[in-house]
Amino acid sequence: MSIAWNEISEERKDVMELAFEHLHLVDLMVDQKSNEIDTANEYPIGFQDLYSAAVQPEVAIDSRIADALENNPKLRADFETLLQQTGIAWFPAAAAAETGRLDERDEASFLIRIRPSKANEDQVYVLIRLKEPSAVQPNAIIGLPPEGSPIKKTLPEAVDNMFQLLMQRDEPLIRAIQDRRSKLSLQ
Amino acid sequence: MSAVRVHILTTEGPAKVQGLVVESYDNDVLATICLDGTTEQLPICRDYHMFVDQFIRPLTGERRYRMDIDKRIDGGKSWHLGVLIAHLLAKDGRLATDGQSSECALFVTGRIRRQPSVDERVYEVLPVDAIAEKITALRAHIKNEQEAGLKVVVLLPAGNMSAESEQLKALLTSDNNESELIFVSDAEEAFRAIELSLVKKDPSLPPVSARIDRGSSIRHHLQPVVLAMITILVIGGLGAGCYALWQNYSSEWHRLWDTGRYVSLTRSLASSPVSVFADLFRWQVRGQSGRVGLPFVLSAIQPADGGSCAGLRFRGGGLTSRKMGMNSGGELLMENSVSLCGLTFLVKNKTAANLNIRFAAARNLVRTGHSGAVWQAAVLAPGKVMAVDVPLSLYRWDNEAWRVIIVGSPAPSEELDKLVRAEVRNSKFPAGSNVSISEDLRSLGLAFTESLVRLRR
Repeated sequence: MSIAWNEISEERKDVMELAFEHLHLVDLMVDQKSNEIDTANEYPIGFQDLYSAAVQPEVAIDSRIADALENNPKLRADFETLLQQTGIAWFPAAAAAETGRLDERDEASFLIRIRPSKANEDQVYVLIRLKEPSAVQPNAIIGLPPEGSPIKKTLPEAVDNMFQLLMQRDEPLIRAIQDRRSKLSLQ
Repeated sequence: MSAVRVHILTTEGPAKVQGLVVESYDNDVLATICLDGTTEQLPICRDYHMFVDQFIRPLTGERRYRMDIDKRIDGGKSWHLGVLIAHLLAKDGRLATDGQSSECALFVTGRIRRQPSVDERVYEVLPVDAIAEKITALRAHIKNEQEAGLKVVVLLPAGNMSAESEQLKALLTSDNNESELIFVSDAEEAFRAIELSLVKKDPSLPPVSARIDRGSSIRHHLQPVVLAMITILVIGGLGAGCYALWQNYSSEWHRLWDTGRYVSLTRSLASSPVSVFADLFRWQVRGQSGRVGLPFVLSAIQPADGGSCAGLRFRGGGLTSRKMGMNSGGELLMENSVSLCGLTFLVKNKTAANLNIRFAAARNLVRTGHSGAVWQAAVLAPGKVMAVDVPLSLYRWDNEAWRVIIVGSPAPSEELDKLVRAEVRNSKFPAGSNVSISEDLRSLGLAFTESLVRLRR
């Protein structure tokens, strides 16, 4: 049986919120205890860290998280699962039969294209088109290359259902989009 | 024809247009404006795209532009006229970009809108803010261009005539390179001004002095006394007629102004067959109301112990308030606002008269788009402050943006109340920041402030 959130009274919501806070505190304590392999002056990567890096657009993937994701396959798999479950769009690795560099990645709701700039040949546009109007729009793009740490970039506001980034051609995110083995997530 | 280098006035000094290309590799490319050839897209990028779509595309048939400038422009709309001129010059192959020589340096500022109810194709040039600072920051650059032997043309909105612009005129005329200060009230005048200044250099045209001489010879054949009498009669008749007409129109407009029917007033002004009278009335009431904004201070209300707001009732310890700053784009940002219980807006009447203030705020959540609203109205004496508390949700956190509109008027106004409520309700995140209250009301000089508070959670 399920109860819609909107049908719960305000008092009940307050009680539930307090309970969630306590549970979260317990989670944090358990996380810290179970990650004893980390050095003494670094607190361990917890679920909250991964979740923030995946879901919150303004939270960058800092070097600590990037290193952990690069070197810990289990953590990387968890992060990928998190991206798939929380993301607005998921672009899997491209078909193995294809060859060469990709300048377009297509998914059910979004189309990502890379186009050069006439003003400067070292710069490219990343054009992310929302195929159909939607109330839910992404705030960030995350690239998961086959090797190395994930790359995250905050998206600007959409204009006419189009998000446009201008980047240097050799930036890691561009390489990730063009690499058929990379996976992409729009959050 | 001569190449023209375009400089857009800012308070930090003019921003030079370094490059302008059509990004023709993809039809979907949005117009973008970048800093100094880098990949940094300026905060006005979205506004620039809209402007290109609405004002430039109809003239050039193109919208996939990339413009590079050498100085940041973070907000406002005073770049409109310079950007418009740069695109039209580029279309004619006359825009001097980096690495190209020029004979003319154009310094320009002005906001543009389509003139309502007259002709959609007429781009009205409206006055800009901070003109004194812009002129001050411009002086050294003018001298540099003059010393380099370039002709300097400064284009300012007619509504920005001021003591500073007079001083600027004196500076320009002291140069012997035919430098000019030209006030324009619509974009056509600006285009003509540039063409005239360049056409003068065309040797196939008769010199200006020759044309003046022909006019003088005609006047020479008229009897001076008869000419003077006719002139006096015509001027007197015209003056009396104009005064009667002005009385007729302005009495109705004053009635609407005094009774707070500002929306009806703007409609009446816009539909006036004598637009000069409408402009004169706007100028008159702008002088009365002083054209000021309504400054506010925003404070974040947080638990004193830094914990969560929801748990405060169990912990005690009280609340503290912390003043928040505003970024250069006019947006207030609060990062990591986990323990944020509410916001307090303190609105101050900085005018010399009582003001009827209405404060409207609407909340938009990123994922759900659900919105709430806060409304408060009060009459504020000069120097007094109105405090508006905006409580925030203790749970169901999401990134949210509060769009705030504050409007002050000399008289109470149901029309204005309805307009502000409708305006703030219609906003939608993320496009909400782009919606603005009717520019007509601004032209009356009503005290007005609009802001966006983003909470990233």
